[in-house]
Amino acid sequence: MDRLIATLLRVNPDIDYASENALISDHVLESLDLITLVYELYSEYQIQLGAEDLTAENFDSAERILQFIELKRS
Amino acid sequence: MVFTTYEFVLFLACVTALYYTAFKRAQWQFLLAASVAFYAYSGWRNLLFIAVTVVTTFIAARCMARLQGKRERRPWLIAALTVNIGILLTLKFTRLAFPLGLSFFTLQTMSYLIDAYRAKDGDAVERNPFKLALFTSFFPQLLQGPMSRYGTLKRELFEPHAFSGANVSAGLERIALGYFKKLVIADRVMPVIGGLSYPVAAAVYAVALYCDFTGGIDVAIGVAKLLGITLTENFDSPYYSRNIQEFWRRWHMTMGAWFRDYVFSPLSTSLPSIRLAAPCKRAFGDRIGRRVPIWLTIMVTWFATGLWHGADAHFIVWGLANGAVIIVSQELTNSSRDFARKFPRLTASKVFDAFRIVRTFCLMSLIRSLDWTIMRESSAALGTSDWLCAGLATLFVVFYSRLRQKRSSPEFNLAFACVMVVLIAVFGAYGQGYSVSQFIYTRF
Repeated sequence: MDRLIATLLRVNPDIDYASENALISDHVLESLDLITLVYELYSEYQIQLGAEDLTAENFDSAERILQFIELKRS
Repeated sequence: MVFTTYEFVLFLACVTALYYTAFKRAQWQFLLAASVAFYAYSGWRNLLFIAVTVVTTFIAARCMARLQGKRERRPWLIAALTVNIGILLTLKFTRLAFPLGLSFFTLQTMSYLIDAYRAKDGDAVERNPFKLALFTSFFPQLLQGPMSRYGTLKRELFEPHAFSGANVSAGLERIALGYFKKLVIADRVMPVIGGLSYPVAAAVYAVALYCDFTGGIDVAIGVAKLLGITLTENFDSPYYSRNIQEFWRRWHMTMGAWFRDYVFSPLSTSLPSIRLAAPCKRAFGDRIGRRVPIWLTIMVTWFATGLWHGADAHFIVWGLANGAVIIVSQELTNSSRDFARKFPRLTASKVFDAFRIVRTFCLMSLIRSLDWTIMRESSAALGTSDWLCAGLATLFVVFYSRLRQKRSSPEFNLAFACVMVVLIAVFGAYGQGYSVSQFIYTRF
């Protein structure tokens, strides 16, 4: 989780990722932030995400993002 | 058929009456017939283009539904998109013909095709070509949106709708508000904008365009509501935005969402785009290099947005100017955060918010004025009473828009619909001395 939080902080350092549960639903992460995150996840975890992956279900919280990364890597 | 004509009012009255009586057991089929009649009124030849779009879209989507993987579906998607985009670009560039609403229904059917391509379940794809035809040609939204997605609109279109006083009063109020914005404000000031000095012209044009475009959308949403159908909202008080990104989330929202979901996101998450980051980092350093692919994607998306508005150079310039300002604004986000940390009380104040709103309005007015064809369309001059009327009407719209969000009820809606009809009758720019003008966005 620490590695992911560090990645997320590079995208937007002003968000409390440990407690935020509506990153997409409440537009906390905007579309440009999301794309930056896609690039960061590619360079950090070597996973490629498609436009249809960028949903609240997958990206609303750090925990969900981590689960999604694990799913993609498996 | 122009929304602001007596023919349209008569057409709407007949459609609504028949929809809830003689055709209450075949409502969507009747709406399709009404939409075809509405479209044919602008010229029978135009039906050919929309028919080709519907048929090719339907066949390609059904073929994709029978296949499992994206790889297998891709040739069908490419073939159908080539036909749709081909028709759009050919007619935009050659100007041989320009069927009304072409840009809007092309984007709607493209979203349907791409959703069918991405769908995990082939059952999500429509089996009835006439239902797809209604989605493509539904007359209230055909000419200038709002652009709908099939997944959200299908239930609204195809479920039966019983007559409801609440829907009718809400629909009439929304239609009256739209006519008020168009006939009292936009049509009064639009013809004289080019005769004004530059900064005033840019600001007046921004207000007039807002009244024209949102007025048309109000009529579209109101007409659909009259028939019990809820369309997606297209505006969220955009001139209260504090920066340009926020503005584009609140202005023409369905178009913005379309370009975000079907151009920006797929392009920026594509492997070539992601891989471009590595050489860019080597060339420009880590901080800038990782941003370059995103900047390129933003510019490509806004180039496409400009091109969608028209093939003329000023639309492309307008699109690229928006892209450039969004990139600069995005890159200044960190400085803005630092400023907020240094001056927390100032940046949290209402005065600072007001400053940001005015700044965004001025910036958008400046970019908007790049659409100089409309800025130059002028000849007449307005008298003091006309300016006063337009000014007071604008204030009325500002306050009424706030009021209707808080106090919406069937009685309130009906009362204000009546008030606005009277105001339009007294102060509207119509009749002798005025020509019926189409809504600006129907040109696209």
